[in-house]
Amino acid sequence: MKRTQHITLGLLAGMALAFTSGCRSQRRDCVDESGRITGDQNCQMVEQRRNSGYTGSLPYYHYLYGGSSGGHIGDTVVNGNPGPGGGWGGESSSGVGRGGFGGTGSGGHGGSGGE
Amino acid sequence: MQRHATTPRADWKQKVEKVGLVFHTLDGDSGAYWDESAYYEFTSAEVDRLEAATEKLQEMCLAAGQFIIDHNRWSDLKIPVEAIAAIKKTWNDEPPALYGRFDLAYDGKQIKLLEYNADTPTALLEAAVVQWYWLQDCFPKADQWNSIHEKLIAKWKDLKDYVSEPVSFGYVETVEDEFTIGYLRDTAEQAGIKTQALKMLDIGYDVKTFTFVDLENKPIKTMFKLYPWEWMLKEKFGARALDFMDKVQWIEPIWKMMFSNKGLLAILWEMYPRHELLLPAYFDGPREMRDYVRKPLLGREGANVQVFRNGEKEQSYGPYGEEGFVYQALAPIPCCDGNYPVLGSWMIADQGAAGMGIRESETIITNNRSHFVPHLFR
Repeated sequence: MKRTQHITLGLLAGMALAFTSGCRSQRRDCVDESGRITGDQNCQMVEQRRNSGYTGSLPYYHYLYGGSSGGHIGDTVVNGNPGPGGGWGGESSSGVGRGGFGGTGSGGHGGSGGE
Repeated sequence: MQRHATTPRADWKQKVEKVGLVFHTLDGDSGAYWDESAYYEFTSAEVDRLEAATEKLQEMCLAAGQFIIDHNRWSDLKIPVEAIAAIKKTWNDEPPALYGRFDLAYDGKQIKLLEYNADTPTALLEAAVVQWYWLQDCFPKADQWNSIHEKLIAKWKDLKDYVSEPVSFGYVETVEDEFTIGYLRDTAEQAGIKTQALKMLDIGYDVKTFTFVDLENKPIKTMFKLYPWEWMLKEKFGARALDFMDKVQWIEPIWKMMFSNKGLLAILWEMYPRHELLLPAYFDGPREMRDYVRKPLLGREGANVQVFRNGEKEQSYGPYGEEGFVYQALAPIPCCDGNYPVLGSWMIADQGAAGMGIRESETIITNNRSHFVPHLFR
């Protein structure tokens, strides 16, 4: 016998249940300066240029976490947060910067970090 | 090895979703990613051979790692100079490592190494869990080469005293990666380790303390990442990861850059010429080969591969290749009912060869449109 005798799933089963019942973890939308949903590629472009050291002015696209909207391009996100935990400020006064990893997978190659 | 057509379970989508495979269907009109309309059957003797081959390949790769270091083969692999010290140090210190997946060609006679995905292998949940449940439902009296789940838990138990909790699990925000990470966290938690998920984009760097931090600005001390080192090193925090390598246990460790590089295939052929598990492979061109494959050193998911066969060329497209290529003889992949199967043989660190998952494609190039097909043996 070469197979696992018994498989029990805990955390994963909960994730699957949440996913299939529509209760996924917090949603994230890329929005413009008016809070209207645009394509993810706009935020990815901004992040990529920042990550590459570009310091000039960039279009004002950013992510909003949570909130409510119709979920379509052009819809306005109401009560979204700039950070997943209720808001971070990028290079904040606390001295913590984010977004320094993950840009390639999110943008340049369009997806999974696995293969 | 035989491919059999069979009837999928009537409620297969609900069944695979229940155990985490919510990404069971490909985008567009490409059909099911999880494909139980067929399965592969092996004999016990075949599985014994595949298991022994996997163990042997791991032994050879470990020797190749030492060879790369001893002979300074960094430029052949296009490994950046600034990463070399960290690779050497982690190779010698042996920080925690978890797993890898050998992709093998098998035609019923020869077993040949296609490549080693040692840094960020996926198709794990499918191999470890989903096909196990399929077997319980459809062929409960048959066996399956698959102890991946229990070996992952056993490995995390071994690591429990060496990691810092919570162990962060970094991922890119795709459903596949989110659920692969979810599965790995599940195995770690079943071993008694506290975990947290963290998007790679959400990793913070504290410029006052020179530490990587989580969303609560707490230091990250152990970080499993489903994100390749070659990408990390090109990004804004890459240099910081190298500068402060001793502050974070990265799983997989950075020495895996030597294995998750197609240049390893040419190194292995140089060390073990004409070994029965290897295909001829070279850095400098196809040499005497007429039928061969040109693979980018750092290519992923079958992108930018060129196949030269009988004087004709097939190719796939993508963003890779500027780093250079390796030229490998065309493998003896059989065509089974119009499908080309590639065997993904899992190795769990210190636990040994652990099981197999099979992806099949309608072309000889396995890519991210391939289908996962379950297996059994009798």
